[in-house]
Amino acid sequence: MSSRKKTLLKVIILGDSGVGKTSLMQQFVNGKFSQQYKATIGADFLMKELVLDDKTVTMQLWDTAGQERFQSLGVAFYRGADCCVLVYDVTNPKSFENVSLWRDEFLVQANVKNPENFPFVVIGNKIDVDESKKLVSLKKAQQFCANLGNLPLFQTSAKEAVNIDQAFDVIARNALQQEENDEFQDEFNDAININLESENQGCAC
Amino acid sequence: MKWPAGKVKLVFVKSKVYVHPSRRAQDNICGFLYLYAEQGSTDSDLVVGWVPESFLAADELEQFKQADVSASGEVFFVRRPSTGGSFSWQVPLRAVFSIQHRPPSLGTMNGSLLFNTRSSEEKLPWMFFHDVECPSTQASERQRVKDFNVFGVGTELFWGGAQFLEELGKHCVLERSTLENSVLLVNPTQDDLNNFSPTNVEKPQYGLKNFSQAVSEARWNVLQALARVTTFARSHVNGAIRDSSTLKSLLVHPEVQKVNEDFDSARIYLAKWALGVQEEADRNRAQMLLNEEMRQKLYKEMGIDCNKLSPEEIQKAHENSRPVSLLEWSGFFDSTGRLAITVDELKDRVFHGGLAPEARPEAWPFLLGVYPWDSSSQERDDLHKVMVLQYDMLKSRWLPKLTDEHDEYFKDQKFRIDKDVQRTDRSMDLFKDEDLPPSDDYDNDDVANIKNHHLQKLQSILLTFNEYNDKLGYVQGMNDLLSPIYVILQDEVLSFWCFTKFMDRMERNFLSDQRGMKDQMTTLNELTQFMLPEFYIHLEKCDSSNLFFMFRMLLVWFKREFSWNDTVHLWEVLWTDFYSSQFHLFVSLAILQKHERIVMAHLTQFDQVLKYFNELNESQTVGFKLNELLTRAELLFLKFRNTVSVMDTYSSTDDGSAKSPIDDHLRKLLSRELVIQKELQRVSG
Repeated sequence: MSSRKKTLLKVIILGDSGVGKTSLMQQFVNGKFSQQYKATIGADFLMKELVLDDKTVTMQLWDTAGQERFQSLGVAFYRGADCCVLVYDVTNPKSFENVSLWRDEFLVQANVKNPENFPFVVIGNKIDVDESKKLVSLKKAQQFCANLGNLPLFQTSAKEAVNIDQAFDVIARNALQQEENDEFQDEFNDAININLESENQGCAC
Repeated sequence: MKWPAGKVKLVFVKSKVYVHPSRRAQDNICGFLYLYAEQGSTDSDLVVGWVPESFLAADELEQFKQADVSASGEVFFVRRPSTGGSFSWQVPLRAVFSIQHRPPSLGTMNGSLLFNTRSSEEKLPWMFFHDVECPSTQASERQRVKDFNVFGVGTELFWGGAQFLEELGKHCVLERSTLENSVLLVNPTQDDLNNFSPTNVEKPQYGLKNFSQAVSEARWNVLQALARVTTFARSHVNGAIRDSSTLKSLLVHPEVQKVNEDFDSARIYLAKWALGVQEEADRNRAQMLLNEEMRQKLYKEMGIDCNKLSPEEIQKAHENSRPVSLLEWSGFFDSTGRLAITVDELKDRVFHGGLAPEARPEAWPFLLGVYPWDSSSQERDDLHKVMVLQYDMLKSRWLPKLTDEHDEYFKDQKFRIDKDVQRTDRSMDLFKDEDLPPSDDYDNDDVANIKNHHLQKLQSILLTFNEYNDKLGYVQGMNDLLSPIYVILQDEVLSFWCFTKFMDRMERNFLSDQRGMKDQMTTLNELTQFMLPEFYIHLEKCDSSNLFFMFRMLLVWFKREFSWNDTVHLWEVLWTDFYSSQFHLFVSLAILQKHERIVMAHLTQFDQVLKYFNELNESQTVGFKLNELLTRAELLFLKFRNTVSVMDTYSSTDDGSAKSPIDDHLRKLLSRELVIQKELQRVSG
């Protein structure tokens, strides 16, 4: 691929309120964790530069409020996303059940071109807690992700920085691929449109 | 009487005249403003000056004090006052070019005078007249009350500075500038008059008689410049309409419309106006926007360029605000605890100065509407008892639910509350410590385990509110609204009731369909188009005209952007509804205006704009000087109100063909009545 300009990867982080979206982002971008984060209101984003193989990319990570009613603003923020991260809290089964709702919500609002191929990554956060507190088993989560089309799954702790870089590396690679597909898709569509104009109709699919 | 050698004669003295070197009261320096004559001198040789009390020897101090209260005729000879101190000064009267005067008002308790000398280098400090401390002013005031004449003029404007000017008027010519009402020219030359008093051909000398009248006409306030512009604009517009309606002809002239269509930015602007914000396609508005030219003309007359505040205006704002102390607050009430001044007077004072921290616990329940303004202390005590009972009753509704495993809605809501309470203003001292002993089933990771007893109070209040307003329930962000109320009052029951009152007006921010937020963003959008049209066009280019970057400020009333102290000050100002129940939109507009230049010069993308405004938070409070911001907001409001009134005047003369371009969203901004939008049925999530 030609790198005609710096690649910006837009990533949206979604999930129930309190699952740790802001903490994950802060840990990944700034390497810090605080118990004192306030509930996110509206939307915000952080930027992080990353080298994937030999390519430098800039990730723009978008964090939004977790309570559903505030998602009606989402449209403005979701547009042009290259990857969507769905976060749940391993101590909170409800937040896990809602993962698929968040995925649907995103697909409706972001108006992505190829919903079935759009990259999602699932993160189960707060694995630093006592085993007895973990109410969403890894097995259950794996099963769930497999059913949704083999979505990548990571179990993380934003508090203790477990698996954060690994998760975001995969997020970045998925986003990059999506970005490149989109560009390809655009060129491809342009080509089809030109062909359609010259050859009337005709598609051998 | 013999003139003692080496001494000067005190012609006039005013005591308790202060220099305010800073905004802190403890820095104020008390002294005497005086007028003295040298032996054998004439009126034009009089010297005016100010000396701090501390610079006078005991005998001199006594003489000055006596001179302040003495009846005219008594003569005091003193040593020439020293000018050694950092603020003391004296200048010959002939060197004084002009005097600016600002009578006291509710916003500025102390009237003040500023002497401008003919040499521009010499800057003298403002002289503040603390009338309540000044024996001579008090005595004159008592005399005036005794001699009260209903047909007298300017009765409310009696103050020390006016007395001083009256005296000065006996010794020199004081000419009021017709350009600047608050400026008196001292012995003006013909050139001065031409420059500063162009329409004033007659030059009556200000004597005792007409001075008070002049003062009453020249009511000073921060917004005088604006008022002047507006009066000018009004008379101009009226004049234009009278003489064969210049403006009116512009509106219908086809060529003018054509030129407008060819002009790019005007077209964008017109198109935006015509399109409205989102679904609001308002034909009245479109009508008026057909004529950009007329609009530009109106704006010019409004002095829309004054949108950029001058340093003087900002300076005035700083001087105008002093918080209401507990003492002052208590003084508003009589012995039975009933308000002894009008509600508007009180609100004016709070709006312009805010409250001192120790006055807040007293004042907030009034400002929020928990205590009626006309109640007595006894009635409030009774009311409090009822509130305690009612609160306990509401609490008993949810207490049993704590152990009910089947109430899913309650469980979800409690979980939401617990999570948010745990992350509410934890940097505040009150909420910092984990002061509660571990319970039996102690569990570090359980959000329900709240280890600070003040946070537990927040939790109880929010759970009770969740019952009290069961259609709305708890929604994220309410914790941010409750926390300052609790921190100030530190009383669970009173905080709860104050919070419910606050929520009456804030419910619209939390509706499940977000229509209240959308309405406000639409209104702010229109207001921005109306007041900051250039900036609006730029925001459109940045894909930001939806103003989503203002969402957080609107939702929790700037709490995330401002420091704690600024937030509570701002809230009490907003609670007064002094100008408008939606004054927070003018605060938003002021923020937009403040950052207009920077944003236009540097930012071009939606994400850049969002980031820029998101990061105007506590760490950069310097960017937001609250008083300056509030003055901007006030100016913007008054400008808006004046524009509306001029436009209404204009369209009403247009035999109905051009209706007022001000739509309901904008017109509602002029109302002090709360905008109430309620959740109609319970929605989870």
